[in-house]
Amino acid sequence: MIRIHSKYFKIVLGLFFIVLAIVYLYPILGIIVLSFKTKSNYFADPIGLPDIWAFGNYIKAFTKSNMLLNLMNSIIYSTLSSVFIAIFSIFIAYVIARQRVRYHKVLFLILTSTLILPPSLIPLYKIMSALKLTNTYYGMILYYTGIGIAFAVFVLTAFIKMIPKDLDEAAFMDGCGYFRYIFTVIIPMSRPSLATVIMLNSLFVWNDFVHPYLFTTKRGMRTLATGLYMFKGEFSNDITVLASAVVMMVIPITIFYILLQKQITEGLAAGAVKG
Amino acid sequence: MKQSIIFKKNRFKNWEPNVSMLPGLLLVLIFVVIPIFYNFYFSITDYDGFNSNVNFIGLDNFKRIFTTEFNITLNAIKNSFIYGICITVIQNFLAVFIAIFLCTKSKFNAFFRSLYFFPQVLGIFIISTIWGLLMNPNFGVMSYLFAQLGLEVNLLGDPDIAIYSIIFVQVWSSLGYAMIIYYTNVKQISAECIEAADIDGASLYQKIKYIIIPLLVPSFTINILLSLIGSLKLFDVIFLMTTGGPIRSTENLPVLIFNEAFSFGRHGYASALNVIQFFIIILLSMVILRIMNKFETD
Repeated sequence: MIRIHSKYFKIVLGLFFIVLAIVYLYPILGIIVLSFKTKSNYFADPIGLPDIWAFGNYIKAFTKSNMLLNLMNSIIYSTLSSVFIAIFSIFIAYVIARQRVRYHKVLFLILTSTLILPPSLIPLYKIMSALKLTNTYYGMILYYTGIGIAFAVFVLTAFIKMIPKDLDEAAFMDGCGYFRYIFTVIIPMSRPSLATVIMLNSLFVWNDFVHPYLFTTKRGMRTLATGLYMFKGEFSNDITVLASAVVMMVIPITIFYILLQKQITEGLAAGAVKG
Repeated sequence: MKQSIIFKKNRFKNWEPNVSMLPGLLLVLIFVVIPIFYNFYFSITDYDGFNSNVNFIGLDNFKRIFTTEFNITLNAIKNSFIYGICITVIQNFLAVFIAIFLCTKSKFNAFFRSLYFFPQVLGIFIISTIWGLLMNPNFGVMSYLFAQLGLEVNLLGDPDIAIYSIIFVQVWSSLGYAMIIYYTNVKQISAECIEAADIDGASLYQKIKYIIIPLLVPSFTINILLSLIGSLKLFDVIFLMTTGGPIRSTENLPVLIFNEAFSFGRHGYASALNVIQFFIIILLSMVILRIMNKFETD
């Protein structure tokens, strides 16, 4: 805890934080106000509050876009890929943390260095279409699982290293099988970091734009993000309708943030520190 | 003790570890490792994305990058570094400042922290869409606000300004992330340490300079590495707000690569650019880690 004694400095600091808060609140509140205005109201008075708070934009945005289907796709891609990542990565993380194979160091080095490298979108696009994975649910889920494992292994390895080794030896001496041990001991014990991994990946998939943009061209396979991008193309002149589509897309994630605020901030910070 | 030796001796002989990793590693191989090598292969071909008839053209793509289209490449690399340096410096400077002064006793601090962090949850796609609407040159609110102030500013349409608008949006979105990392580190500094300094009559400035900043070095390493690498790979915000325009003034390497590949169908050429980006990023991260390691040991 730092104490500030100078009164003037306190006032200056307070002002700084308030101005910064306005810079952060303005676009969010601005887009909400915008979404309730009619088009003519907006062009007559771009900044003020709407004359009448109307839901017309919302109805138009909802009916003209495939929002429910896109929402469902986003949920499917993010939850299923997160679950697969959690299961596949814990096996890899356990092997690396306990050095169960000779190549554990090389494996860890390869996985971590892929985190820094830029994405190779061109070959990925080729691979996805060659394997007939574009425009399919399993394709997108497998893809997100594949690119998410490296980071998850990184977070989980650090955590498993903190689980005492004696536990392994005791269990194996008593004749506990390898897979049974991981399912009944390691997975339940790493619940907190598994939660972090699942949450981080869900957020990433939810907000991802480039990959679904490239790999899903069919209308029915789009996520909320790519759906909104296409909607933006069709309604580029209807700024108020667009604003309401954005607000609708923001609502689920905002509720998520308000409910799980502490876990999300801590999880993201922990993920970064270990990364 | 004896049991532990037996366990160690046998630990490589089990088939289970290898088999258990198989599905995960297979996916990493297909979607992460193979694409990297495949990318090197494409960089020496004239692959266009559709035609299955791919010809080897040797180093022609690289030759073109450094001769006929050198201006475009150089411009993209220059912009990449403008993004990298501006975003890293502004973001880390602001984040350290905020993290330190949000550690004071005040009931508003929790609110400020969660507000500044909120963009991280919104995601860069939503953020770019929101700011893109607000900064729209024809009917955006920001343009109107500037016009009211008597300034004719075209935030995204003016080649001299657009890049700074994008830097602003990126810093706006990722500031909270850097701040949280610094904040957790500042909180770990023991209260006794600062109290001792208080008793010795250290001023606020002295406390920050001699106690807090030196103890923040580990977070500096992480944050600088993350924000520099992240801003060199910056793509979404540029693509969504300007797609690299006006007149390539906001185009960095990732956007150039994307446009060459998926707008102009020059996949081979774009792969060659990607190879160059690949080496730039590896070299830079090695340099940063080297420098930071030196700092940490000092």
